[in-house]
Amino acid sequence: MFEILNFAIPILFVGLIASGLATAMHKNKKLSFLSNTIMLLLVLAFGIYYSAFSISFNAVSLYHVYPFSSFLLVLFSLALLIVNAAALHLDEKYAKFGTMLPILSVGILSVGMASSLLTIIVSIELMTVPTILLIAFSGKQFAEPATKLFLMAAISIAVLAFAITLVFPYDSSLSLSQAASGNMGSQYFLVLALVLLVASLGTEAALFPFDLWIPDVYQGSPHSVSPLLAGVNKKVAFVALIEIAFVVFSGQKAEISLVFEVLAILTMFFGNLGAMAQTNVKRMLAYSSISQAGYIMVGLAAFSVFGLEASLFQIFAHSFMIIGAFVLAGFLSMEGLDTINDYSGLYRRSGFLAFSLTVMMLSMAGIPGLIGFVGKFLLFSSAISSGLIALAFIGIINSFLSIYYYGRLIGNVYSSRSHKTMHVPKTVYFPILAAVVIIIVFGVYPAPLMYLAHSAAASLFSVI
Amino acid sequence: MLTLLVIFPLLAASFLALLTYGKEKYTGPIVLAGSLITSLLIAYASFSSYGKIQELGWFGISGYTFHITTQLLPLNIILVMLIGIITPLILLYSMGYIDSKMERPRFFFEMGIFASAMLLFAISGNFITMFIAWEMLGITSYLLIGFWYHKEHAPYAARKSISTIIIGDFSMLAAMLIIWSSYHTFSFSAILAAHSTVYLPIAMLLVLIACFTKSAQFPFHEWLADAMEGPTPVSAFLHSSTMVKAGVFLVLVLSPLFFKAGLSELILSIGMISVVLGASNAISSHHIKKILAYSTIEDLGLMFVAIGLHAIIAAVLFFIVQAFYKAVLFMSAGSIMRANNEEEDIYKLYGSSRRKSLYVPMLIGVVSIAGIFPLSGFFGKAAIDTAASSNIFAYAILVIIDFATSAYIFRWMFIHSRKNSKAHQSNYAQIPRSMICAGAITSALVILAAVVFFYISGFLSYYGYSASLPLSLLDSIIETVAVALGIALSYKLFVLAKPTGAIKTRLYYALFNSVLVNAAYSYIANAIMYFAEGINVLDELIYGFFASGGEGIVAISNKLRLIVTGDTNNYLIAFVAGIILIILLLLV
Amino acid sequence: MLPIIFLMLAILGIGGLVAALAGSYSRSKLTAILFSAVALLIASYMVLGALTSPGFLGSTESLPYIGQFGIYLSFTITQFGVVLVLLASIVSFAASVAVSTKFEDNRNLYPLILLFEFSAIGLFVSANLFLFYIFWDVGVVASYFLISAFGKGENKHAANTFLIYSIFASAVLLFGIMLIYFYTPVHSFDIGYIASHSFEIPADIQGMIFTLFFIAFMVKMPIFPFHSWIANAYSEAPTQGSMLISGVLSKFGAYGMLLLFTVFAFSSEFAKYAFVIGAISSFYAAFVVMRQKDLKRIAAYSSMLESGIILVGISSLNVFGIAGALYLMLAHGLVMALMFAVIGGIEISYGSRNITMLKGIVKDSVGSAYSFLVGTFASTGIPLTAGFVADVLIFIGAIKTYGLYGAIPIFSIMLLGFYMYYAVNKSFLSTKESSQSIAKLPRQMAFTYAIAMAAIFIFGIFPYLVTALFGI
Repeated sequence: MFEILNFAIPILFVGLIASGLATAMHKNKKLSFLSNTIMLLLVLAFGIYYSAFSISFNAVSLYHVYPFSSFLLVLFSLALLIVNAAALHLDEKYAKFGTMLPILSVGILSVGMASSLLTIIVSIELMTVPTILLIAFSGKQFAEPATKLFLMAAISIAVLAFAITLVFPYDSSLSLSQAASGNMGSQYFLVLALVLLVASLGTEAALFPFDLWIPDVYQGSPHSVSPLLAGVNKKVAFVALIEIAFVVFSGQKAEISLVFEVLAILTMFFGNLGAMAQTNVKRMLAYSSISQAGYIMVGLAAFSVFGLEASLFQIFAHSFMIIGAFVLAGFLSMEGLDTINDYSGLYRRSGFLAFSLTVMMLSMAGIPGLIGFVGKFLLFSSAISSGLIALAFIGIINSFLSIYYYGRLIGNVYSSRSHKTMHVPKTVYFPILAAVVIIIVFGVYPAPLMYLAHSAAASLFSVI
Repeated sequence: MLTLLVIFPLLAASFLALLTYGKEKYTGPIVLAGSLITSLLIAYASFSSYGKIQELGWFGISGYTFHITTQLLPLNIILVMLIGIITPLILLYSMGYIDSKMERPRFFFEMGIFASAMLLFAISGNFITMFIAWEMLGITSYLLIGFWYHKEHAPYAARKSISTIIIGDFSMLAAMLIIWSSYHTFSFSAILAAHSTVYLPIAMLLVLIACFTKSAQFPFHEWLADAMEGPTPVSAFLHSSTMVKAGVFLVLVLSPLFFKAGLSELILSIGMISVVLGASNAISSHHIKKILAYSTIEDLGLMFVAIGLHAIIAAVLFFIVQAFYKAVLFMSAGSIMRANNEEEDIYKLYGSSRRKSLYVPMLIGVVSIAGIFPLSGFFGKAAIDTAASSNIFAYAILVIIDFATSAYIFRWMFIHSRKNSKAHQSNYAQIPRSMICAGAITSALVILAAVVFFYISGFLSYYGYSASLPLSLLDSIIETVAVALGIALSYKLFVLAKPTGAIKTRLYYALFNSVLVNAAYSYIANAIMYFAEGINVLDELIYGFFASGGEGIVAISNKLRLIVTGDTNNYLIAFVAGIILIILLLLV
Repeated sequence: MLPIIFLMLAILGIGGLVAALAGSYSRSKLTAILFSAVALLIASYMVLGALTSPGFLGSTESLPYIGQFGIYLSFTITQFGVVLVLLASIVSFAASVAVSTKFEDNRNLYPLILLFEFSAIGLFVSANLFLFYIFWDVGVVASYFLISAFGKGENKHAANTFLIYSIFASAVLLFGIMLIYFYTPVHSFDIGYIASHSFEIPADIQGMIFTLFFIAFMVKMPIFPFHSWIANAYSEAPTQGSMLISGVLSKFGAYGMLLLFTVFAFSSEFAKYAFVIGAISSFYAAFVVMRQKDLKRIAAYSSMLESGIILVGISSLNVFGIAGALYLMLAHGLVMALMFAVIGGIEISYGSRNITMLKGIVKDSVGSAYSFLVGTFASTGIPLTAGFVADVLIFIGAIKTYGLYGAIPIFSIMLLGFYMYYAVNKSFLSTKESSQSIAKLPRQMAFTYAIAMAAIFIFGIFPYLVTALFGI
């Protein structure tokens, strides 16, 4: 009805880039924050609007709007809003962050809407390069993580491009849906393309064994960037993986399922076992986010609408859990609390932070009443419903293993060493509160989010 | 009239006793009054509810109802009468005996509950009612034996008694549930009327074990001697009409079932062993109350012997007469100890013959327990001897025991009725009047109890036992001779020889074999504790097993951490290796 | 009809929030007492309703929750549920009244008690396995915080051990629940539906489901060999925590076991193994108790013993055994509440729980000493305390199913009795020497004792309150 609304998103993208460039010039912290926030809020509004009415249309040949993309618009814009707000405190200068964030947001936000392989590559690039810059510009001590991320990203994007060229000969275009229809069965090249695709996207999506850099980078990055990396960039890689694997390689169901299954198991074990031995909270969170990637893979391995729904739900859930956790850990790191032992008695410093951290950890551990439980429940259910009982069992055992380190952290938070109370600034308070609210609300009443995830998953499958 | 109601005055008075802190002088009278009302009600109920079985639904489940059943058949009437007569006397005695004000409410409360429990036991008509009373008896006796918390051995004695008794309690529980599962009823009358089932022997064996623990029969008899740590009224009560009588009584009530289950030989032999052990320890002990306690073990053994010989009427007769003379003996013992500063060693007790109002009742008791015609004890013993005359082995032992009994009981009396030595002054004037009074009344009852002999078989004809109680002249003469010899021996050794202490010869240790039994108990207890120690080691192993499982995982984790070296080259190698592995995976 | 369960859960939820926000210790405590008293009244009303009006049992309340899985917020009142709800509300009420030395920042305790009560009651009335699992885990988390007690270093190890065991059980349970859902003909979490279709689950999956559930419930009850968490958890938790965990949380497992054997018909073929395990567990616990010196550990292992007996009752699979097991859950919950309250009181009065140190408690703390004695009586199943009828029913059931073997576990209680009376005589009822009392027993603790003892005697003297639920 309002044709112009179909172009709202590109227009907003332009607005975002403008906001970023403007920040680069005026360097006014507040103004920049405000313009970024407004732009993201507008994207969020459209995302909600599209989702609520299940709107679908093909705007241009490079992107299309359908429930899958709308779901991701909501997710990513919301996540970016929180990251952006938290950066106000976590990054003292904010100017560079305020410049880069809107630009990389465009990449992040467009990946879900991609209707072409080209869009996917471009959006990933658009996301990765500013992120690397953001880390690198934050100071000399961040050269190492920036280099590591740069190397891994470069390799992964090269491999991705190579994978796409392998698919290309079988396909008249780079369009996702046509790639799906033109796909000709299990040729070796196709399988090789699949493997390379998994490897390249698995690098950013934190799949073992492509994820060894993750702990270093997540831990070493500036506090404002870690939430972005773990909560958003990783999820973008997942979305790309989902789009390509499920749409382009829909004929390779058996192979995908097998590969994903193995990767899921390896990743879960690596993440959980790795996290147990950690003493630094940020590093532990990095490992934990690896294990969560493993859980997400369980749903993908199920290769069904239900499985995809579960994965999308978990992607949503984990975004907010890990963003909240990294914001919290970043804030505390700025206050001088880095290791798990430093956290003892946190409860006496700030009841709010202790409570929030508890909620996030319990949610990640999969305690009912919190969003993480619903995610895991859906994931393992989907595995069982696809007949992958062993995978579901391994997932549940991993979920049990994870309680060791989550519980240890919580136990420390409530140990009785008394300290002076700690002031929590608003820019930290509200992002964390937002994450906690999302975790609790969708944990207690997950039906609406499940509905969105379900229609998103179904819409992706209907593209095939 | 609802038979159950007879208990309530006493029960209510007992609870009232708890409220008398601060006004302790009312405690005794209140409970005594309650007990007297109960006694009157008992007398009334024995006529009005004679032969009646009354059921009250307690709870039901899926079509089955569990009842609180009371019955007043002749045996029940005998026991309630005994309790009804003896309880007020003991309470009267206690009013003088318990002189510490602080202890009085607690003592009378526990005594009242104890008596109420025994009454409930006496009128119970099914297993579950009986078991309630049975357990109440167990725990109240436990509390009463350990009544004096400040004494060194009282808590130990209480624990010993409860530890023995709960063996019986749980055997009884198991037995009655096995019985219910076969008969679908707890009712005594229904079970007695039913055909026997496969489980009956094992169930009755368990019941018998329970009765042996309660009635202090071998090998569960030692607790009764230690129970002497309790206040004397408790001992008097415990040994006459309550607690230890419960086991015998239950065997009497259920005797057809035991016979059906083929357990009469077992009852006879355990009874015999207990008789011998009781008598031998009574001969050698020199603790004024323990002698009486071992004598009780012997008495109860005699009852079991009679039951084992199927001489139910003789057993019942002895059951009745024993109650009175044991009560009077214990009351006297308590008074004598009171006059001698609560001294317990008979060789340090003197002058019980000085106060005639104490001495005469005691003498009546002693003569009765020794079995001298025409006092009640004679009839009881002679009846049992007569019943045993067909079994020459049993008969021989019983005659020896008659001899031994009169020997040790006169020893008991001779020693503490010596004249005061110079070093030791006893004060018989300080014995409260109520204690003397209770003893005197009881001794009168000992004399009167002889009458029971003439009516007992008629009274018990309800059960269809053989019509009369046989009492042969020959057996009576043999019994009397044995008793006379015993008295003579005792007189020679303990009056003429003027002993000053126990002579600890080998014979003494052979007779005083309770030491051995106690050693066996602690051996068993230690064995259990060693086993428990072993289980605890196992427990730690299990804990360690799971803990080391956890540690193993953490160890893996520590190793795994090492592959994340921080060196990007390694990450790239892993990247390539990953690709190769996935390809291999797909190729395989 | 009034949606009584929703009402009750809402009241507890609101109570929890109010207590959390109450601001001060005394206001928080008052809130907890008030709300748990209201819950107790509602629970009593439920029992009365179940006894008097025939349609009350089995009445269901539901609200749509997650449409995609056909999950409703549906609650139903069963015989099992109503009794256990009453237990949970009595113990929670008693725990709210109690005081403890351990919570120095006591304010947090009361929201936790109400949260725990909320989860327990929700669990016992859940009509589907999904809600069952949710309440189960919420209960675990609440208990974890009750044990860790906001501080006190030594609690941390116990709390972590507890958490790891519990989450293991939860994980296993969750897997079982998911398997059931996907292998019932029409995917469903509804307990009623599963009950009538359990045989349509493939045979190998049946075995798997049974094993998973059985292990999960074994951990929670606890049953040998998954019991290692109790000793530390019960002994390190503050008084209120021990009361709730041993009194109510362990009933989560027992209730689950009850559901497993009554709802899933295929469980019957495994019943005999359950019987053997239950019997072994109870004897094992009886022997472990004998070397314990810490009163809380004694109580903990005696609780394990009773769990074994409960399993024996359930595994007999007849109305006596089942009703008896339910009754014992109630009785044992109350007894444990009393025992741990008394031990807490002794800790306040003497600063120790070790029976080798404690002497002559009856001298200065008459109330504590006699309450402990009552607890001893009740835990050995003396008639007229609640445990007696439970034991009678359980062993009738066991003997009916397993013959004379069924009577054997009775003697494990006897072994417990030996040691309990030993402890009583050693530390309580002998005043030859006596320990120095450092503080007077707070009046609130006396109330706590009274509440627990009153309940123990009420259910001992009027057993039809429970048995009538199974038909007179």
